[in-house]
Amino acid sequence: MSTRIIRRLILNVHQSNQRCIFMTSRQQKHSPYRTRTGDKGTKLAGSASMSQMAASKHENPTSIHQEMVERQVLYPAQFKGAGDVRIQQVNKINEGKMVEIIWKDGKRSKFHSIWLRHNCHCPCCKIDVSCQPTVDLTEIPLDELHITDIDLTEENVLKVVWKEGDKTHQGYLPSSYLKTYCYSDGEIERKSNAARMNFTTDTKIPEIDYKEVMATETGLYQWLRILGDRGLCMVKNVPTEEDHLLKVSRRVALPHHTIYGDTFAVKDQPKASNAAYRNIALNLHMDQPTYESPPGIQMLHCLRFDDRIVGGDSVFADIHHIVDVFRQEHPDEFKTLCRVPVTFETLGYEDAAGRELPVHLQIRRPSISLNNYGDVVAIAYHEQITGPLQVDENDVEPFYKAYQKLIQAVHAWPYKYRTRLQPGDMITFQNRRALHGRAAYVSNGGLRHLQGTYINIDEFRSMLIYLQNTVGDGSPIKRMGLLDMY
Amino acid sequence: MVDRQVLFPAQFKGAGDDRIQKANKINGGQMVEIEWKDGIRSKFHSIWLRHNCHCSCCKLDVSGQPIVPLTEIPLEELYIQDTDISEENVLKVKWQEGDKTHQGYLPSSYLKTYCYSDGEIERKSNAARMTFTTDSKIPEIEYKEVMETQTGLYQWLSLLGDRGICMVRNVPTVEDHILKVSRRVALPQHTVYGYTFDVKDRPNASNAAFRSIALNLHMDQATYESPPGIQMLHCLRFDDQVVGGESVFADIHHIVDVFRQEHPGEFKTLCRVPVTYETIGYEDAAGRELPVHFQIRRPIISLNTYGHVIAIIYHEIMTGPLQVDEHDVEPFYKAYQMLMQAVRAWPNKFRVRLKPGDMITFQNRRLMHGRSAYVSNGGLRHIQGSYINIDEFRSMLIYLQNTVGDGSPIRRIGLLDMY
Repeated sequence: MSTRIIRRLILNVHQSNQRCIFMTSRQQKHSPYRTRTGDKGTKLAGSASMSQMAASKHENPTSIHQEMVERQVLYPAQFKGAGDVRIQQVNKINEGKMVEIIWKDGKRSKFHSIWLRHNCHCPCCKIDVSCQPTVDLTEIPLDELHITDIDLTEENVLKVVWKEGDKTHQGYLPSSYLKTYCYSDGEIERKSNAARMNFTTDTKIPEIDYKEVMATETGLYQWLRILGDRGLCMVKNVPTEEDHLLKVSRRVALPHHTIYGDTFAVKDQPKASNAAYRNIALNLHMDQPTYESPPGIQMLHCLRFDDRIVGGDSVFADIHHIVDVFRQEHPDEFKTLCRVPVTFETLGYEDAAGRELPVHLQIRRPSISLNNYGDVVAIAYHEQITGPLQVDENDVEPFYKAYQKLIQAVHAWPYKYRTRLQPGDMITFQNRRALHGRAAYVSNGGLRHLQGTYINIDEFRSMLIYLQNTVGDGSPIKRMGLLDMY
Repeated sequence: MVDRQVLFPAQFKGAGDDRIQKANKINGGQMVEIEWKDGIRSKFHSIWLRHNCHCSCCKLDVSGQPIVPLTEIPLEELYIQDTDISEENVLKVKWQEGDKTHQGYLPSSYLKTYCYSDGEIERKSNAARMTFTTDSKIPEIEYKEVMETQTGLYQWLSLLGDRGICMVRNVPTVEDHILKVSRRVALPQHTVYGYTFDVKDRPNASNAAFRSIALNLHMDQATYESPPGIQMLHCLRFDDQVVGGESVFADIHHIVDVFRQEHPGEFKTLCRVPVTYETIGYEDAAGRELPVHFQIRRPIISLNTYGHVIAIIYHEIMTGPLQVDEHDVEPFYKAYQMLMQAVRAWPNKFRVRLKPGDMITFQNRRLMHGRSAYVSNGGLRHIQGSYINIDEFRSMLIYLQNTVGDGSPIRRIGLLDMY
């Protein structure tokens, strides 16, 4: 039996002892962790005190912090970027409606008692492993909830006793959690500002070798980090076999399918279901804005690009950077594009090359979405997937005026990335940030064949954050065009 | 246009009588006014018509994608010179754009369907409202019906679209058979738990669902920007000796519709203050393959421009640390608690103890689901689940509504669509 399993068995026993003390009588009755010491626990719960908590701690070999880690409701790596999480002092304020923490680094944060209560990490309040909170908010009289005691005896853990009506609850939160999620005194706006994308005028496409990405966690992290920061990255020397690109994407997540399948073949086809499957030029765009959640990462693997083919170069541009400039130069048009929703559609009731089923995708969404602080969080842009505008008549002409200006800004953007893909090249990019396009081409009997696939934006972000916290330095990542109000 | 596949007549089945009585330039050619044979009048801007021109220079065959170069059109100098309705079902237009002209055309069915003047968009927004019922009997359909005909498929999806829930009976109790059904609509929508997931009690479970504890009413995957549209839960085994484990469902859109009237202040708060949803797991755990750090902040309720509820995201045990300005914290919790109480107290819940062969299917973003705790007593409760992406579900429903059904516009399904 592994040490880990033995530790868990021990933990389960001591946890069941602890739970009696920490649970209120009502919680005990309905707790999934019913123990045979129920009666004793009931009596104790009504009169629980700090000394009893201290006593129980003395009985148990592990610290609360360690216990949270063992229960998998705390992954220390998650808070790597939190800095110095030691608490200097903590005071109840507003008659226990709030707590003020003075950190050792001098910062001060305030937390509401309900916020702390909802995020309590004790075994009654957070499920092991899944970390899901089980606090039943409907049973807490919010007007009568206040903190009676706080305790800092253990490092990196804030212990709290709440009074909720005629009951009490004893619990705790890790200080790293508190430091990371503090929200008072303008902290959320600061975090919103800090999440802004970095822009550059550098037009050289960052590169990484396929072997690096596949062989190590560090290589995988490097690739995703470049994608997160710069929005695009060329992966070199990917073996030119069909479906090999899925081996790469699978390091991150299952493929993000669309109506075109798990992968799609970008080559000239008769009766093409999409302009991409022809040899015509494609203006800068992002794929699939008809989907509520357009793909996060797009990967285009060049399988063949014969020398005799003329044209077909790829081009990319950072729509978030373009809009950032546009906002300053055309503030009214910017506002219009935030307010007036555009229609995106993909329709096809007959068979066509590249898709298996008939489609009627149609969505109305603003071109630009803002969060509560007016920061751009998401942009949707695809000239050739626009459908009939469905807005009040007074908005039609203002919309087209603003939209035309934005299209002109995109066309005129001076910082475009350009490349003629070579077989083995796999260009990967944030589909919602680095717009992509290509020049028209003439095949002259040759073949230009790219295989494409996508990664879901939430899953990409999840893996990037995980690696940032485990392999990287734990600093918060920047935005990536997700509809997240953060 | 039909041959070029830029016009699929079925698409406009619900347009009604799309014959044009009269078409006149107005405002010096800035707009066209159409008088339909049924008496309704619609106005269209010249730029709107120009952008949606269906001629072969303006719309790609088969894909139907517009290729009008908007940057080359001087918007201040675009106006309509002529209109012509001599050919039935088509509006021919001649535009002057600066020193150039363009001759093109649009189908009248397209115009009738997409008219937008004189309050039409608000009317369409009203008409798209979900219909609610207090009927708590779960609609049913037979597996064979769904699998064997387009009509059966349409019936199933139509029930899902209207009522939000439908029991599919007698699905063979074979693992992964669920995918045969979902595949009639789309590829499976995967999540971090895979293409399918097993709802059964497991040690070291990555999710509360993979245990025997009770699950309060919720919708799955609130951490994803696009939570699953349709959820399918196929009962493979539910042994008689298992006590508890009944399924329960409730229409959150209906609940919120009532809540809005009873608690308008709290309703506004829940539209404005974003909640945090998270799924975090850095260690191995049963049910998922890769580590996860999902965290999203989003409002619980989203409205369109007319104040109609378009999307609701609700999952009590997926909430994470609220990350909002301090002044919003207590108002949020007060409003959130009230909503939770409304959900708990909701009288029109659907309840069922699934039987092997039952596959309960529902709009994940409308019919919240939950279950009571269970004790296995040596038996097994095993349900296999899968999802269908909301856009793809809606796409297939609309296509079938237009080809098999009567072509009437469908209702909202909880998608973040401003319509």
